Amino acid sequence: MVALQLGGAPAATLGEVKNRADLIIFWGSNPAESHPRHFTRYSGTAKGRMNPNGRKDRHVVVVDIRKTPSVKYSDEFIQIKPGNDYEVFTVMRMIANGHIPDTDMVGGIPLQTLIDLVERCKKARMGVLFFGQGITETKGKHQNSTAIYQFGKDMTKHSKFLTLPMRGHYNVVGSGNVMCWQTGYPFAVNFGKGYPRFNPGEFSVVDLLLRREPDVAVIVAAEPIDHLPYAAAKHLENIPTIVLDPRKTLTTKIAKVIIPVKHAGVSVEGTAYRMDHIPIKMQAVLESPWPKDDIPLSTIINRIKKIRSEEKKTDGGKAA
Amino acid sequence: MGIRIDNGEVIDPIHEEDCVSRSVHIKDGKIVKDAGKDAFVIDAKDCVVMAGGVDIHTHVAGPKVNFARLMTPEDHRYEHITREGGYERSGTGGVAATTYTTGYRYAEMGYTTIVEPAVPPLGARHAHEEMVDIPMLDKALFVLLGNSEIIFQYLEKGEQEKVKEYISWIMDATKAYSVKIVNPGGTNLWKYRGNLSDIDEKLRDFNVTPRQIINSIADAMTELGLPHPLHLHCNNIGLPDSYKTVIATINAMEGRPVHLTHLQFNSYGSSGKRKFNSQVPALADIINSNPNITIDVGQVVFGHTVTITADGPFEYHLHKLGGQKWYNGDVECEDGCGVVPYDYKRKSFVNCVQWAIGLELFLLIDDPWQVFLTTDHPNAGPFMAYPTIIKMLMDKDFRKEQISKISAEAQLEIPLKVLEREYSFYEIAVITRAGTAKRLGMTDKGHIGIGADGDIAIYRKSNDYEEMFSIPAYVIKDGEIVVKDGKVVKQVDGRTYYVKPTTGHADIKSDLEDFFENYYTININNYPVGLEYLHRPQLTPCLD
Repeated sequence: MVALQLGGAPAATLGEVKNRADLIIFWGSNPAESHPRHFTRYSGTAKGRMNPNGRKDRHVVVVDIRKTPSVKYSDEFIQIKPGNDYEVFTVMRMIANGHIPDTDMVGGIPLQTLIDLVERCKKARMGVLFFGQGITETKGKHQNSTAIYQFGKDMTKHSKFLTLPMRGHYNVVGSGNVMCWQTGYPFAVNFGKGYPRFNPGEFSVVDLLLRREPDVAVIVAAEPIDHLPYAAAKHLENIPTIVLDPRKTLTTKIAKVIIPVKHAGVSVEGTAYRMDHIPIKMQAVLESPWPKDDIPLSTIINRIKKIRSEEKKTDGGKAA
Repeated sequence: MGIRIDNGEVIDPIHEEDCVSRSVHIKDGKIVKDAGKDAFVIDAKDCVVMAGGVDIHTHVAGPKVNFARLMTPEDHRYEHITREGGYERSGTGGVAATTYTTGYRYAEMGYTTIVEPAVPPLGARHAHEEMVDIPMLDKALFVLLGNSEIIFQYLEKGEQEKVKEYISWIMDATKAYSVKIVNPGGTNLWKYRGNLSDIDEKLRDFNVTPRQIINSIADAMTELGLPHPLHLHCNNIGLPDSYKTVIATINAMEGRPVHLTHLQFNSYGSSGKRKFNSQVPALADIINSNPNITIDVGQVVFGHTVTITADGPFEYHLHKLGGQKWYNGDVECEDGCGVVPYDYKRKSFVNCVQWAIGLELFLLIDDPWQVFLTTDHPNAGPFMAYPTIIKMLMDKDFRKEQISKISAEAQLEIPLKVLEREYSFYEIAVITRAGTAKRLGMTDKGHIGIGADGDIAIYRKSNDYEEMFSIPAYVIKDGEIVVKDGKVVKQVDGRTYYVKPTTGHADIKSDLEDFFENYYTININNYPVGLEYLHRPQLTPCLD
């Protein structure tokens, strides 16, 4: 997200990949385990307009620090030393722009391998670089994504080239979209002053928790105890927490109040945004006795409003 | 309770009323003969009373608008709205403002209806979700079909009945109001990094030309009786000599009704020292003698903005010119989009000529019913600049003062420098509400006749037209006072207008099922947007 804000990106919906891409690169992403349907529906064996033979019409490259289960579905595996992605993309951008560095190896990869890869990207009908948490959650973080997007722009001088993040976590894209149209920002939004402010590094959840700033937490459809760094998650054990979740999780274990709710897309219909930002209507398939998320949330908000207005009345009386 | 507006001067061009002193009665959300004895009375002394503004082309909702918001965080910091400031929902501003801010800001200028003109079918669900969060306004969206591979397949086989059937199906599936075409064929070629430069150039994957695309879709729309005709963003936008494409397109239309959108971006020639000049005189001549054509301007506003368009190859071109951020989002089987932030500068010769071209379109097209006020928000600038533009049209001294501030080289070359025309209130009412409503086929809007929607803007007369149109004394939406002295006093939610044409002449069900199976990544059963996504859905009937 921050990388997108910094420079933008060449992207497309996944159907474009299915119909036209003849070069697929998975970088720091292991779809065989993280996105098991991706390969068959969009990027590997899927047949499309210019790929009538599916897998045979595509060249698939996996770049990772280890031989992941995705490698066996690829034509080419390039092993990179951990934490060297930014350096390797910088060199690939140099190569793309006609500068060959005076070295044999970059980030554990022979220079000639990178020259060949860049050449393959330049010649592609449509090249697609999918990147995952091996890029976004390692040394360099959003700078790695920025380097990838810049590489995609460099490649666009030569060929159709897309750079697409392998977003995970059900409907994280939907959450980002709604935040964006309502506040202007996709995450790390602080309403403390009565209007939305954005500053990742200050207002993102980990930073807030590390500073022990929140004195109460409402947690909706999230698993912070499992997913956040220990030091940040620890603060949640010390403050009142209200957790809305249909399941028992590590977070419900520490909750002061648990409100069981319907599972969106399972027991209540709704809309979820796919990783390529296409909204999908979700049907309800199972019965559930619990309410939808918005019912307890609006009940809480209305109750707070009522208390606030009563407080105002009392204050007004005092002042008079 | 009803409302009666007394002592105002009514300007209602649809009924040829020009500053007529009469009362206006509103009850149950509509203009009525008599609002009753208990009506709330607004004294509109020294005010003009117009219908609520109707914007025919403003990018305010949908996937690419949201990418524009995402990519301009720096721009949101300088303006915000709060509950403490009297608004029901907080938000941020800037050129790509948040949904709530957008609704409030439009209402505070006296606008009550807007059209989001460029939604790819796959983005319709998203656009409708956003439109629910735009308060104060009635809304509608146009669906993008100029790069639809389904239509291309039918065109290759000459199956016009199926094109028509598909348009009626897709309009229902997206709950659209009309159809827009953006760079017909060009955005499809961009999927191979290409574009096209001539309306008779063939595509790569399909034996089809832009001429065929626009004619086929325009014919289908006429036969389906859509209330708004083809809304067209021509090929070669933004390039020198793009005016030649406009002339070729107008000739290709052979008298069919068409709305040429943000024509400013297509009015460029390649003469002069800088090989870039205004060709408005030539285009205005043609438009003046072709009543089938309407245009909106896309007036450039100097300053920072963000460009967003389905014209993917144009956005890449713009990115290459200036090196700004660039987002590209091709949409499978349908269209594409690009987002590039941009600064229009008074010291840039090209930007100044663009700015002048917009005003020249307003001033050289004789009939105001053929030219409408837009900034192609936010492509040429934010809609919040409308009052300033109105002042430039109504006050030639102010306009000349503005001309004196632009690049000296541009001042010498622009046809604008000799234009003396000034718009009247009546003409302003045409280009901002009456003309747009009429062209949209929204018969309850843009006028103050009995039965019209109770959407009214009351402006205090002033010699400073910018101030006058920035701060309406009152704005009434559906019969309720929602803005007072240019400030929202009540939040209301508008309707979403859609059209559902029917044909029944061709069977395309199995074609569509095959197409979805082969080329889409979404199941056809999950594709249509249901009415549950629309707030206060309002079905507009087709023409007979």
